[in-house]
Formats: sequence, C-alpha cells, structure tokens
Amino acid sequence: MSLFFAGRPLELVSVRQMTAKVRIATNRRGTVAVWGGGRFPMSTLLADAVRHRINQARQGIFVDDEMKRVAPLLQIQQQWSTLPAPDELLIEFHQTREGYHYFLFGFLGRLVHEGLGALIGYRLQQRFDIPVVATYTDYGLELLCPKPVQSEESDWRQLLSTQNLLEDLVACLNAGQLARRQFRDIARVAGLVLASSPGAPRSNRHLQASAELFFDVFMDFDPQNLLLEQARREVLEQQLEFMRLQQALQTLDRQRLILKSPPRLTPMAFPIWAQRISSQTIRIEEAGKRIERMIARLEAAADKTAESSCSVHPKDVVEQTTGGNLL
Amino acid sequence: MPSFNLDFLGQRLELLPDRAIWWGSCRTLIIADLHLGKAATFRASGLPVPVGNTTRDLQRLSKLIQDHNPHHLFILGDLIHAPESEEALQTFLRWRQQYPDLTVSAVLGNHDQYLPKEILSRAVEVYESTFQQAGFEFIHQPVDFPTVPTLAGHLHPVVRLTDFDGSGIYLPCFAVRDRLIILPAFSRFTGGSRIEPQSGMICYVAGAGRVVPLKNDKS
Repeated sequence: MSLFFAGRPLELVSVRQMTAKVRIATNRRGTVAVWGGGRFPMSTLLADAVRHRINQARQGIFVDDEMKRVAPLLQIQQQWSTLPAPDELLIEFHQTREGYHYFLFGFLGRLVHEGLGALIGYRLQQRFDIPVVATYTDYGLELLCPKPVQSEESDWRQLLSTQNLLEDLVACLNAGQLARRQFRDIARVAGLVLASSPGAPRSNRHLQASAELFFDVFMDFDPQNLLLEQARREVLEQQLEFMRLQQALQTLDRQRLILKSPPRLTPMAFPIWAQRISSQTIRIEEAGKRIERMIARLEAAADKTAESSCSVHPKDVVEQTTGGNLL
Repeated sequence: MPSFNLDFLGQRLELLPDRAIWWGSCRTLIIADLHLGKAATFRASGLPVPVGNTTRDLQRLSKLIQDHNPHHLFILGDLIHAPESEEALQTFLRWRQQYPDLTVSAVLGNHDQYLPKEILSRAVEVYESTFQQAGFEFIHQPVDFPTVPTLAGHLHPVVRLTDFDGSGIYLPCFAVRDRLIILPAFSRFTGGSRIEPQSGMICYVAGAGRVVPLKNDKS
C-alpha cells in the first residue's frame, strides 16, 4: 500500500520510534494520508516567513530544496495570476459549476481566516441576500456563492472595513452557525455523544443521537443551557476575537488590492478549495431558509422532470486525481 | 397545506408535510415512530437533555387531529422510546383522554417491547405485529417486497439533498416502492437512515411545510 505525501507516492518501509521510513513507490495508485496535524494553527510569525519566501519566489529566488521543489507550481501561479508582494492583498475570482469563488490570500493564520470568513461571509449575505460558504486555511480563505456578487475594489474595501465590526461579529456568531459547529466538540466532552471507532460494537443504541440533534433540542427547549453558552463563548474568544480581527482588518487595509480572474483554480487557490473535503467550513445561511431554498429547487426540478444537477465535490476530484499532479 | 396526493393501489393517500398520512376515504390519520419520552430516557442515563419534545410532538399530533378530524388514528410502532419512559406513557394516556371519539390503533415496535400492554390496551387497540384495514396491512418493521399493500415505519427514512457547494442536508421523507410505503418518523427528536437512490424507492421529501417528490437521480 502506497500513500501520497507532499505530492509524491511513497511506500512505508518501517516505523521506528517517531520516524517513519519511506521509499518512492513504484505503484502510482494509493491512498491519501490524512493526519490530525492538519488543524494545527500557523502562527503569525510563520505566516510572515511564508510571505517572505513567496516574495523571494516572485523575484526568481529559490533559496533551498523545498523552494526549488515548489518552483514550478509558483511559476504557474505567477503565469495564471500573480505572486503577491508583502504589501499586496491578492483576491482571485473564479467561476465553476459550483458557483462563484472568491479567494483571498491574507497570510494571517487559520484562526484569523476563519473569523474573516465568517465576517465577510456575513456581510456578503446581508448585502446580497445569498447563502455563502467560507473555507479557510493558514494562508487564505475562499468565499463561495451560488450567484456572482459585485466585487470591485470599493466593494472589497467595504467588506473588509472595521466599521460596525463589533455588531457584525455578534450577528455573525448566530448567522454563521459557528456555535452549532463548536457544539460538536462540547457535546463530546460533556459525554452527550460518544466517539466510537469504526467497527467497534455500539452499545446503548437507544441513547444515541447526533450532536446536531442535541444542539437543536437544547436551542428549542433550553436556550440558556450552559453547554450552549460554552459553545458561544469559545467562538467569541477564538474565531471571532475582536482585537485580533480588528488588527487583521487594519493590516489588510494597508495593502494594495490585486484583483485577478485566472482561467483555472491556481496552485494557491486549489488547496483552499480542496480544504472543503474536511468539512471545516462556515455556512452563512439560516437553517430554515436553506431548507426552503433547497425544497424550492427540488420543486422546480420536479416540474422540469429531469434535472442535471450534479455538483462537483472536492472529494470526488481529489479521489480521481490522486494518481498524479493535482493540477 | 401543500401536501402531496399519492394514488397508492387505488386509494388516495395525502402525504402531509408534518410527517403523517391522511387517508381521507377511511377518515384515518397514520403516523409512525413517535418515540415519546426520548429525552427522559437520556436523563435517566445521566445525560442532561432538556425535556419538551414529548409535549411538542403531542401538540403537533393534536394540530393534525384538529385539521382533519379523523375517526381513526394508526400508530405504526415505537410509541414510547424506552421502558424508563413510564412518565411518557402517562402523558400519552392523558393526552389520549381528550379524544374520546377517536379510535387509536397501534402496532408494537421494537422500542415498545417492555411497554405494559395491559395499561396501554385500556386506551388503545394494541396489535402485536400487524393489522389490516381495507386491504392494507400496517406493520412496524418493513419487509422488502410485501405481497399486500403495506404501510410501515421503523427506518426513519431521510434523503440527502445536495447543495451547490456539494454539502448535503438530510430531510425526512416518505419512501415508496411497489406495494410498500415507509413513513418518516413523526418525532422530531430522531435521526434517520438514508434511503439510497439504488434502492428503487421513490422519495417524497417533507420540508419547509411541503411534500415534494424527489426524482430518482444522483442527488
């Protein structure tokens, strides 16, 4: 069995202490390795260092082996879009069958991008009355909308403004369903849901319900419940922390906006797009409204009888393309 | 109310958005999987779940009875969630007293096996596993290909609807195939089992106050 790591097919030879020995695999088909470290937040210092390296690449300087190895990717990035300088904020727009993608490369760390995704998503949703799905990584975020939105430079400046920041953050705590998501972890710690490993026998079946279901029951019948309170507080202290987001917006405000619409997902945009596979996304839309919208779509489809609505999920694409270059 | 009229082997059945079937010609309301007292069961095991679902679900049922004025109510199993829910049974019996003119028939489900049948049968016609009415059979646990027209529950069927970003939501549905209808769980405090498109089931999705057929495609 081979696995893919950093784009190369590898074969596991042995694991000794904390070191895994691998060799280049001859078999090109394999599984994609996933590990929990994917959620490790990048510090702002590390983010600055990455920006510095990208700036070097912009000037054609590739200092070490790692940089030389990603050089071809960065060159494609430069061809299709650009490599942003430290004082530039790159925003890429791209349209697919899924909808309209706006990629923002802030290099501000995962937590900040998560908060920014929720904030900008909320502002977009308020302004254009559309659902928004935000996905984020350490160095950027994606906003996906089913319809195009006005996205001139002045629009972005408004979306990224510090005006009404506190009010908007409080509002997007509810709109972004962030507490609902946070509640999954809390429900597990509180012992409401049991994390069972695959294949393990399930006991107490009559005591099983999902965190999602618990969240709804608590919201309906005990909205002041301490576990819900805990979920809200954690979100406000982490993703939506006021000072951190205010600083971030001020940083972005000093940067020059570079708007690009590349022909395809760029090497920098693709990993953010593919991040959606991990379900680490923020959906800004009221749950009832979402059901309404999807039922309406179903009705329209029932009228037309045959609907060809097969949307592409990152998972499908990744599964198909693991054999080689992800681009 | 935008329900869906289904012609099922010569009978008109109205699939209602609030997870029930109205069989007009027999003046009968049909539901499955009430799971009353589920929160109490969780509490008995030390999980601090707020109560309120049992009351709300019975209120929903009262609303349906008000709207349709049935002579008969069929419950296709899993009336009470677990034996700890003795209080739920009492709540149900008190609720039932409001409708002296209504005949209630219940098939026992897998969750009802410890239910004190002698108490229940004072208020409800209780059937061990099946009963028939106008050529239709009513059971809890569905069989794959019944020989007579059958209505069942137990599975809590849901469908996955795919959104523009590839994510999905799960909504309760009526699953219909040949001579079989599986009702969605009436209780809102339930999960569900997903009906796969390849099962050959036609799903009628209940959501946003409507019942809409799902064409058998990829989503």
